[in-house]
Amino acid sequence: MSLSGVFFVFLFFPSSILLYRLIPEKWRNSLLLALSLIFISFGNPADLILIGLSTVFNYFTALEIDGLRSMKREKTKKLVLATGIAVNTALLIFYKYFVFLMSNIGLNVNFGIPAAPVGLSFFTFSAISCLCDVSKGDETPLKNPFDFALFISFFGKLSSGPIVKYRDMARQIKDRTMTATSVESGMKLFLIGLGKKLIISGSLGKFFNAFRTQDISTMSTVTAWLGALFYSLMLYYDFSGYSDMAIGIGRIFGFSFSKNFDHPFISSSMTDFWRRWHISLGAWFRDYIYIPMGGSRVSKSRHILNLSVVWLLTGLWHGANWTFVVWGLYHLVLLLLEKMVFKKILKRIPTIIKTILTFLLTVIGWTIFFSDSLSTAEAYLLRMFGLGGSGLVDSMGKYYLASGGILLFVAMIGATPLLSAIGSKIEKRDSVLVKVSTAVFFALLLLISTAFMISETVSSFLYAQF
Amino acid sequence: MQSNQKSPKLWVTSMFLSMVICFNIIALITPDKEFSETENRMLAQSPSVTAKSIADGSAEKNIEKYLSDQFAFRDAWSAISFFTKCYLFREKESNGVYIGKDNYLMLIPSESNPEAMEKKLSSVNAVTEKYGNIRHFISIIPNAVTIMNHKLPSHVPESIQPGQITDISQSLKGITFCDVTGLMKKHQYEELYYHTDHHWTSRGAFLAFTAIAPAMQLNPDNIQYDIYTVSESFEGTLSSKSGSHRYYDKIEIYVPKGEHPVTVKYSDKDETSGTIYQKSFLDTKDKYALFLGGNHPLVTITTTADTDRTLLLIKDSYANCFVQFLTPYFDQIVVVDPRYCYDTVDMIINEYEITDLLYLYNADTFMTDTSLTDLLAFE
Amino acid sequence: MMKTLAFELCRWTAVAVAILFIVRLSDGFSTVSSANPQKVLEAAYTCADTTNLQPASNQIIKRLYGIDPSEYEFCALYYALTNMDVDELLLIKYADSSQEQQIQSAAKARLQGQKNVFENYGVGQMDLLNNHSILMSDSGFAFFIINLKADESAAAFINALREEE
Repeated sequence: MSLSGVFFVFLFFPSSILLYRLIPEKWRNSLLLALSLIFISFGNPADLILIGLSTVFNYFTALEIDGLRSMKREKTKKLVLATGIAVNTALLIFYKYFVFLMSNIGLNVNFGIPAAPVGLSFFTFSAISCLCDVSKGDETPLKNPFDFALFISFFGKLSSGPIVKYRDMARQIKDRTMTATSVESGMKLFLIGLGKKLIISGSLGKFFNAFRTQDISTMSTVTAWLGALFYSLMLYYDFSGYSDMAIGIGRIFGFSFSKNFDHPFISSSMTDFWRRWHISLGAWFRDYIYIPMGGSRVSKSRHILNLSVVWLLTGLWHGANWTFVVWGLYHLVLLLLEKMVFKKILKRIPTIIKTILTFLLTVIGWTIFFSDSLSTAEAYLLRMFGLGGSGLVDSMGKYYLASGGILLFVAMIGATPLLSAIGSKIEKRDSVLVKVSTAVFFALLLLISTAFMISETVSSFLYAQF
Repeated sequence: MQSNQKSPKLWVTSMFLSMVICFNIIALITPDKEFSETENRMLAQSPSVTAKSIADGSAEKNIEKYLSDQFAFRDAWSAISFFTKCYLFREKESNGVYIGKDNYLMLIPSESNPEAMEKKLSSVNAVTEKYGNIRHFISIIPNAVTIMNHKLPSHVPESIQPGQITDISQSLKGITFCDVTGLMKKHQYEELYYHTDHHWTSRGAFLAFTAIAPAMQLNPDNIQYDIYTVSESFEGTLSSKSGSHRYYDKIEIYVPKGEHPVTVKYSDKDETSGTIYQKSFLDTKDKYALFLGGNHPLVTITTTADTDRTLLLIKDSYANCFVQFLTPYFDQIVVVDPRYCYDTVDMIINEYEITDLLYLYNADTFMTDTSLTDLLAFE
Repeated sequence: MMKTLAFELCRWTAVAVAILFIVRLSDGFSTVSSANPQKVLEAAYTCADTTNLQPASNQIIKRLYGIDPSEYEFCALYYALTNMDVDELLLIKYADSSQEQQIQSAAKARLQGQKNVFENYGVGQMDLLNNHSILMSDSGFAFFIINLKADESAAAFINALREEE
């Protein structure tokens, strides 16, 4: 089920809110689980079986690990943990990477790999986080299997993230409060996310599609940069839009999930960027791979190894293509240079320059990210640097600037904290006028989002393939 | 949490829930629509949800499509999104259509197909060579993006159609090629194309006729025309395609003065008509179909011209409003649309004793068409 | 101890069931149906709306799809009675995946070609082309239909494949 489709926004979501309010508190988790199962089966009922089996596997593994830990049988516990992680990873590799791996060895896969269950990349990581947290002893496993099933499959965060760690959700399943403030703020966040996705990302996507079909060899420099810019903003609005919706949905049901994006385009360094972009992914890799491997409190060469592993996996997580691996390594190199080579020089550069530089570097990175192959990426990058194309600017570049300029401008302003700062200032004023105009603003947002929802052809969530 | 503080705090939530409930009630009350006139397409009806369709994922898509197509006030939503795109964001195109100045809508040309073009041109050459006893003519008409470029939004890349048309004329042998681009360019400030449709107006067609007629050894000065405006509320294909509904076009017909009776026979219907104008279409959305009743595989027009010339007109829909100028000059005109006609050119030439052959296409269609090659193939 | 064993049993059972399930889902490409192609065609045809359909000669198949019927073990086409209708039913038994690819691209090209022809003119035709067309391959058979009763015909096609010769 698409979170930004008519069925969810106008039928499923409002019904779940009303039901949740009406049902006695002790049945609320069961309701959410039932709703999540309906959510999953709406897309593909076969997913229910796979997600169910994954739930069963992880549920028992977590209980076993917890038992072994309390019996202090560390060796066996570690073995069970390792096999648990291995099985989850195997499922992920089979659906996402098997064909890619085989084709790189030179073997062809003769049978069809079925479609991956919804949210595979997200729930596998949630499951692994559970096994690790329980193994460390920081968290206890959810003894009620339905509670655990809810942790894995909660419809708010299943299909599009954020990647919710066990330690961040388990206690909330057992004990959370729903306040009017949280519901209201959740609703606002949901509507903002909906608008980001349908209005801004959808429109940017239309422009980017036009660039997709252009012949790269005759692109001008300005055109190439415009295309990359459209993509970067489109990806941000698409993903952060969905994250906002997910977090908003969570809040309405009393869950507090941390934000997944924090205005990444005003980052003043690559390190800063990864604290603002897809935060839940970075946090997961930090807590479950980087720190267990030693993090930064090790020898320099080991530190570099740790970072390399994390960035290789970060790239791969996004998809089974060498472009994603190269993109991950591109960020790795920049981070290493930042942390180890240019650290002193960078301190002396004014923040504004660093921000612009970081922005340009991430846009270049997205070019590798969106290319179908490394050779296409190379060709595109050459155009961006003025080599081999049709000069600095051509009429196509001018046309897209004229046609998409305002949209780009609005998108870029919206990506800065400016609008949310204004929003919070206004909200602090506690007058009826403010309350009414807020409701009117969100009503307009809903109306325009609905207009785009109805009249546009469906453009699916880009990160859903992950 | 004090209860008297609860409801005033939930403004946005209450707004959302009440709006959604409203729309659901409206959806339940209003019956499903079958056809959308503004969008010119059938609307999805309630899907049959079977075990199979749920299993293969098509149920989800069909339900979404159904809910979206049958959403109340669909046209209003399209208008809102169009307004946001073209007035707030000032985008210059919508769904493959340029939003030009003065409410001019222009179709963005499709990507040409060089392979198909080569085959097409060689089959035309083959036909020209085989039938040396017939007079062969061809004219490729440039589209609005080329001629009405002063109405295009700013910075649209220059049209490549003039070059494409020249290339075609140079690849064809033994056939009279009539290039009207220059002539139409000279008159670009006149209403040569519809604002809301991808076709040319009768005025544009007439202008081209003044150049094509001499090339076909017809004397255009012989005939005078009465010009009638038959509609002032024409909303064409580009309106539906782009979502812009701000202009109504005028349709004119050029009726030759004097007595020029015609008998029109449609091969796919057992109907005979006494006129090339099918006025019943003026009451429908597709008013351009007034000319020759829209697209048919093969139409024969028999006249009392007494010129001993029979014309085979191989065409796309642009020629529909061009035929009105040809009727005084030929005993019979056989109008063939290769997209719908599965006969071969050999059959037609022999059956109707053709003396003249004219290919009349608009550039955009000609660049991508593949059915002409099939028509011209020798068995 | 017992608890650990019990947990082990439970979790590895889940893994085993998952593997079986996935294998079951991935299957379907390796086995070729031994059903009689003529019977499959009849089953699909009778469930379709046949008011506008007529059988096509090899000439017509070549012209409309650009493929040579003699290259396939079984190749049959029904096409529309008039040129202004778009009803079609194609059934081909192919020998390998390269033939399957050929058929898939030919059918997709045919569908797109018809859409180009009827865009803006034929509202009813566009509805059939957009919303009532199915292209699928299963067990060595390729099936393509544009018809009001496309779903029923496709279901009949699938069922007929399961019938052993």
